[in-house]
Amino acid sequence: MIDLYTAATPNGHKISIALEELGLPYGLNLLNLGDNEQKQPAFLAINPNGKIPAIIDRDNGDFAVFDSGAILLYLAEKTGKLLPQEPGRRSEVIQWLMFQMSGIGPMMGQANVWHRYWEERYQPAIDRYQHEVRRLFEVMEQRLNGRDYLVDEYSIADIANWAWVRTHDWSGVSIEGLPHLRSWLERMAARLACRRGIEAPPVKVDKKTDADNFVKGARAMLGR
Amino acid sequence: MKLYDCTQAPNARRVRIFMAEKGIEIPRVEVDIPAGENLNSAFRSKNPRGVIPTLELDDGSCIDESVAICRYLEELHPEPPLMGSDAKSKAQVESRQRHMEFDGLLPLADILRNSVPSFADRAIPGTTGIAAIRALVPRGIESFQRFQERLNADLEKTIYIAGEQFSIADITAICVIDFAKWVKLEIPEHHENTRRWYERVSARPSISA
Repeated sequence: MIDLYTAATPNGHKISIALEELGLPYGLNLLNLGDNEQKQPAFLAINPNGKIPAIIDRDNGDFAVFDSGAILLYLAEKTGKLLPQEPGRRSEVIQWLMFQMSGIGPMMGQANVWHRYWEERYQPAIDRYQHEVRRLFEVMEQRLNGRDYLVDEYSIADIANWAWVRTHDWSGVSIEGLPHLRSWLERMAARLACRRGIEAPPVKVDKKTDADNFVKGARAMLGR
Repeated sequence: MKLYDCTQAPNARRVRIFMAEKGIEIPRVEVDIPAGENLNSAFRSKNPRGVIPTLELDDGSCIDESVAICRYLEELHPEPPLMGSDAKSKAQVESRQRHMEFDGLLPLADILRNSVPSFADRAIPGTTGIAAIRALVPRGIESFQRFQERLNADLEKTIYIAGEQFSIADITAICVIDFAKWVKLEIPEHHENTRRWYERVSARPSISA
């Protein structure tokens, strides 16, 4: 059994999607980020960096793993799935995973901060991150031209990128004129495990009051 | 409005989770069912059937039956929809909801009310004494186990009980499954689909309402 420590965020969803895809039994442990639970000693013992997600593998001597990219690699290696064995293919999956970890995630995260959460509106920062996100989307568009998935065969690279890219509206970045990216988003959403993963737990931002609460929670985190 | 509630009663919990999902807050009055507080004259002047939960409206009238209370709240607060949003999904939610009640909740009520001493002379909810029948216990267990098998099979291809959207059917189901623990009927180890669904749904903040 895998104990997952998570919250309703794209990084958390990467792991719940992977656990659903891999058919691994898991337990969900939700942290209230607005209350700063991720910086309390109990969780810092699991992840010294105080960020979700983290896992504890109960079937491997309570081995703990933090950082969503590292967890995806761990789960893929544990099961021998979603990561090819052949060194070239394997490297390609890791490249597109790192593309998400160093590009899509941080840039969309910063776009969210400046577009949604920062109290003052500072347009140059909004532009900088939204433009960079759009550029990254265009890189994906090129890559997905003629491919169903980022590395042909469905992998942890698709999971990592999809968990973020699907939230492009929240970052205020359009996918207009990117038909291959759009088809890939739909192809991913057609997978039951992906739809299940993003409900574990769901992000509540559809209603205005829910979105306002979400922003309030994010602002409380930024204020620390 | 005022909600007559009982923290440990599964049907009362359904209404609390429903309210939490909608973000509705209503003042609550705790009524101790095991101690028979729902049968005293003060409560029966509000609700002659003596059942919990009961919602008292501002005009003094009362609505009982948890699903009826939820229906009333759904009409007042349509977002997010928890009872379907179009003809088909409304019917699907209703179908799954009834399945959870008839095939899940009722066998458990049979097991509990026909085996626990404090219900010996009130095996059927309500005001007049109806004696327990011990033989209904094994029948209830068999019936509930059949329900568990079906639930696990049904959850093979869906996210939630009634399909893609979380609904009142999930609320009823989670209350059924937690209620089953009272009579030592856990989700079987090999029921992977039910276990995964249970993890996802029970992680929602509303579930602890």
